[in-house]
Amino acid sequence: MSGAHRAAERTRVRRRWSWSRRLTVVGAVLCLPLLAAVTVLLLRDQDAVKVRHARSAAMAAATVTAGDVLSYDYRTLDADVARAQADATGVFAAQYRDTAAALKQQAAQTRAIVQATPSRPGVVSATADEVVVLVFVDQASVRQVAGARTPTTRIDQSRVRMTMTRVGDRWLVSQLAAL
Amino acid sequence: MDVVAVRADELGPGDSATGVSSRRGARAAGVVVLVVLAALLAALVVLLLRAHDRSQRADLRDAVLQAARQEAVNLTTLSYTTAKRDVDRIVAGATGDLRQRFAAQRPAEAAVLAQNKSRSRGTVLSAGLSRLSPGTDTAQVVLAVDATVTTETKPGSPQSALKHYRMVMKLHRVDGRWLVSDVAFAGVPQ
Repeated sequence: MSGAHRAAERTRVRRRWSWSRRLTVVGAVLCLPLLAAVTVLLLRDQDAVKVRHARSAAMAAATVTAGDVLSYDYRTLDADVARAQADATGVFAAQYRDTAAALKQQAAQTRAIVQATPSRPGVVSATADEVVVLVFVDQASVRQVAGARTPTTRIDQSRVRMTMTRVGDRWLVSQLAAL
Repeated sequence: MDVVAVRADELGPGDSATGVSSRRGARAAGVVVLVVLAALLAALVVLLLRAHDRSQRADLRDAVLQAARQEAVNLTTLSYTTAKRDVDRIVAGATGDLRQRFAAQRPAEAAVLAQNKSRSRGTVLSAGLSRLSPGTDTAQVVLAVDATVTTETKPGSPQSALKHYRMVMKLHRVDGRWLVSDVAFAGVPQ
């Protein structure tokens, strides 16, 4: 082969080379923003899975917790209050603590037995760690009012809005309001 | 010129031994980059589709709650002076058997309202989504609703009462709109 022919051949090889090498470099550079985008989307996706789980877990927890917190029996007051306190956190835990003594005194005085039956939970709003749940509560109570011959029974039907907060893998009540 | 062990048929005209091995290296790098790109693109597409589904579902949740709240207000906001229009509003927000029942009750409802000059104004205190079907076409919502009901059993002396309702609603998505297919009260209105 002549020298000129070989030189021309080498030039052609070099040109093919740099075209595919250029593509490779472009591809490698593209990987970086793509990786960033995939990472962000993946994190959002994982958070959404957490929120979905939070909705159902918090609804179930709210139904049980409303019963724990709103039921008590004058014969087992200490245990009942302790159980309610264990389900509470944040603002509601502080509120409950503050009113626990008054509740115990009143319950003992009137020999109160209160049975709260929650039902029909619905999610008002939800994030991965905090879910607001609306629940209907029927409270059946028996009280011995001073001066009355027989105990007073009544059924109160209320609407309770609870903020459930995730603490570890448990859902506790951080706010509770009867509407 | 260095001599590296290369197969005879791999050598083309004008090839040098170092030229071939670095072209091989470049090709291998190209393949790796292509594979990684393809995998990232696939992941991106999947995640974007999931994000789209999620955003649609979130919009649907908002729409369900909005429709339930509106119909709850319709059901508790009526006046004997605008009975027909008020019941029309209730009918428009309902579907199926419930819609037919409301429509059929129109004249009776107007008469009942007129009898005691009844007026009612309702507010939704809170609404929660109990369930949204996977197909996103049926839903259940619970609502805490209060209404101020004014009646005039004795002419000239209107009386007001505050009513507390616990509503359980079932909704259906019909032609992109959420309509109430069933409404029940959980217990006696207090």
